[in-house]
Amino acid sequence: MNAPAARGALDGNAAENRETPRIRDARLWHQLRAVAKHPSGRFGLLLIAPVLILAIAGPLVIDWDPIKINPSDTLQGPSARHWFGTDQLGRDLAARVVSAIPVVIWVPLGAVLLAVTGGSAIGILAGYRRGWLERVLMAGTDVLLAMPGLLTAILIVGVFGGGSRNMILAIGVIYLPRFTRIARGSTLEVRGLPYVDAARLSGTKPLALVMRHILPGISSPLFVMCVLSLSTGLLVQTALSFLGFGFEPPTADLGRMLANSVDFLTLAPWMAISPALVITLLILAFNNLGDAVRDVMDPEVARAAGTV
Amino acid sequence: MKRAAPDADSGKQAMALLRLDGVSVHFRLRGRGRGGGVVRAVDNVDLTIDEGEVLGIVGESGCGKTTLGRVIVGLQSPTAGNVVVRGEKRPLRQRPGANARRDGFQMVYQDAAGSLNPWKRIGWSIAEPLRNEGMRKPAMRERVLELLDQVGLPDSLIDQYPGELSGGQQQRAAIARALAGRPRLIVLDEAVSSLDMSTQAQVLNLLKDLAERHPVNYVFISHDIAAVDFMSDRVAVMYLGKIVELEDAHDRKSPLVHPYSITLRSAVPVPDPVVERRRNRIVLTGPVASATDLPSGCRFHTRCPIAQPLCADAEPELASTSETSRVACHFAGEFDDRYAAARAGTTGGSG
Amino acid sequence: MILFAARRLAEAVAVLFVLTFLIYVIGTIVPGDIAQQMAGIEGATPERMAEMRARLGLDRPLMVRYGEWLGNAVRGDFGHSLFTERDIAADVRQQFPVSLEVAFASVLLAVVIGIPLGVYAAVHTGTIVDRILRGISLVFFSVPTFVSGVLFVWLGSIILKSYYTSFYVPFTEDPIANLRSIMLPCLAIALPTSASIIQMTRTTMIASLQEPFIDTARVKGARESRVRYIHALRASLGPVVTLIGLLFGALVGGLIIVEQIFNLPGLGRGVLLAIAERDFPYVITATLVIASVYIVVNFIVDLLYPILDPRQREQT
Repeated sequence: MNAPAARGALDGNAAENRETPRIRDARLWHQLRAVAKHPSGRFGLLLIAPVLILAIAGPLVIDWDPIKINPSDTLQGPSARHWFGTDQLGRDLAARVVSAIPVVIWVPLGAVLLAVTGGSAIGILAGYRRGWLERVLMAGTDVLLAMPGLLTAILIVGVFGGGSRNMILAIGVIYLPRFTRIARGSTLEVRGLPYVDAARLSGTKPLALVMRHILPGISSPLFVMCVLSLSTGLLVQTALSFLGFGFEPPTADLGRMLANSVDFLTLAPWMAISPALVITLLILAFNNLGDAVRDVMDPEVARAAGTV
Repeated sequence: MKRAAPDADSGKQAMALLRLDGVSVHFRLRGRGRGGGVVRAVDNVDLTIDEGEVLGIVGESGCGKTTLGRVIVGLQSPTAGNVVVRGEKRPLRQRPGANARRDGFQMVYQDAAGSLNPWKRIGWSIAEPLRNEGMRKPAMRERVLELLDQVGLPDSLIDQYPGELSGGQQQRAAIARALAGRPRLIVLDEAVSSLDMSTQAQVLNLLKDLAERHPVNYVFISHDIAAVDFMSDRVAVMYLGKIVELEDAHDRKSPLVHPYSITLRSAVPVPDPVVERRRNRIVLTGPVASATDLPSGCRFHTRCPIAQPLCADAEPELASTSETSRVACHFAGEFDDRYAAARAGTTGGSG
Repeated sequence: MILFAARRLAEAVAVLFVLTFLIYVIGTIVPGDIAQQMAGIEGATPERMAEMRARLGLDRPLMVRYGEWLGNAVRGDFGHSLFTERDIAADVRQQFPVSLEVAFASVLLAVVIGIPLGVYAAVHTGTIVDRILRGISLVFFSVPTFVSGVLFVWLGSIILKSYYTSFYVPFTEDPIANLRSIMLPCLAIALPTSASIIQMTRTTMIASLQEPFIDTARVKGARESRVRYIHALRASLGPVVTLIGLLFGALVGGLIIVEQIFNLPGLGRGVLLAIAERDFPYVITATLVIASVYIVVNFIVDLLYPILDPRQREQT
């Protein structure tokens, strides 16, 4: 691709909605700034900041090993020595929470990337080729949608085992249909536009046609859906962990930490507080960011969103 | 504008740039409605386009002229019949546009804004055919600037986005892209209809100039018979998927004789108030019949001002009625008399 | 309308049929050699393995086994648990009502909380109450069921000790004790659900209050309360019902979680246990039951929509 094409691809990510094709204002940077200025966006960033600071600065400040058992320190309340207290094995909760934060960000991110890549490919193929292929692909999507998301994820992780890779796979699979639907719908809208026909007559081959002409046109709703899916992805991931399908102990895992705390609630309520707070803060933050991105980029996509 | 001399009939067929043999496009309606009808967008059309001529196709919206244009360039495969390009039959079922580069056929659309990818710069869009030919970047830029110049756009537009251009500029850019691959034929599908009047005139003149400087043919599709007259060497009139009148010879002075053609032409205002006031406008009554549920006999009989009982029973062939044109009407050439009679009848009856 | 219903029903049945196959394949092929696991417990000699396979029917082709299983399933025979050796259908029949009751009570609770608050917020747009409601529903929407569930376990064991019963009592045995045992689990599920319902009711209600037919009703002399609570509310219910249908997926997730947290003997906890025990005949059955209910709920929602909103009727 030549220079303008590369630039164009960048613009594609920040695709403006179709009514106002004033592309100069639609660059990713401008839209991100609009998101940051949006009240919900600002609130989301405000919530996410302390968690990120904790995740980044925590390991530098906290001396405790997240998986080291300290028999002399079991079930300690929050103190200067143990900021968030300790669990029934005397492990430092602050260290455990801090070490568990990266994974609750990476797993939903990976799952969303998997779902958006797979879903766009399937949806574009269905919308572009039409015919029996479309019917088969969309029927598969309907079958996947006929299962409650968390149940599907539990089945996948339950059969194949936990860990980051399988959780990304499980969450990616349950989010596949929504991206497929959006991609197909947008492709159907775009493929009939004269500029796509003009490209065909100019001898543009199907793959290039999709990459240069169809993908930029549908990237905006897909991006919005990605951000909206982050919070529910995090929800599903922590729920899987909570139910015992996350990481093998002794790895610190927010959901499992919360599940463990249930047996000690009257004795040591702080065991529940820090993981619960981090999970809720992150979900609240992602929800707010999602709202802001949707408002800025594509208000229409909300209808296709649905829930977990 | 005519370059090649008219040939004898047999030679002409071999030389024809494009020949449509009994081309039909029937869309099956799938969906919730009862049954699911068939839209006969184009129905058994024969047409020949020779090198160096401009064919005008005129008709109301929904008459199938756009679909016919898409068949010509190869974006739409006919459901029946053959498309023969320079004596070579086009494969029946193929990917839309697969033949485009071999045929050298291009299209310019009514929707000027929609015919340029909004996420790409103008220069990028114009260069698309060149890029697909594998042209190198410096040469490509050179050629794009040349094309911009030819369609009367400033060089600076090369780095702008479609949204920053006016409708007229967008359409000129679309024309530049169509010209980029040195096409043999450009289908202009309502190419100026969405522009305002003065811009329309400019773009029409540009198209005429370009045709004089380049060996390119046009198929000029429009609902506007005045524009079609201005642009074309000969005219085809379409009604509900059929060609009802086709001029054979390249004589623009000859009047059209099909009742539908006459009513179309009578709708054009004459730029002389005295004549205009005295002019007899024929106003069609009744709705356009639907392409899913075609009338029996002659498709136009439900609205024709001179319809006779015969018209509802028998469909007229597209037959030679004069030296200059073929008409599909049982009463071709009798319009004036019969119309006068019909008017006398209704005035008397209601009166 | 009937044509539409018939088509949707056919689609639903087709989807369910494909699902049975998918779940059967996942539940049979993927877990690996069940015979080996089973025999492993009792010592895996080749003879024992072969015997095990024959007993479990694993020596026959997959399609034959699937056909046989499907045939039995249609007749209500889902086989026996690999782990407890008990009749799966009987177990599911016991667990299903528990889940259904909790699900139904949760939705009811969410609707009872959500619709009035949503209507209030819509009628009093921009007031402090509206803003507080929006803030609260935003937060509730973001609190996962397992977080609020843990919170309620804590509340139940400390503050609400005298009201909350920590083991499940069937409604038929003791209605009061039953309500006590399910009230906190239901509340945990209902909170995020009601948050969505508040938001949706508010949005659609505001939209329908601005529609011309509302002015028509006012001009015709209908009392303002009637206009608001009958005309406008009715027109805004369609999207709310659809939302409840959409939320059903999340509801199933919530059920699995609260059944685990509160030790309710329902299908969700059954599935979790069975997965842990690799008892796949049970997993297949329970999953199918849940998926069927899910499909039926979506089917009903599709049918309800045009009934609640007459404007949708022509389009279907």
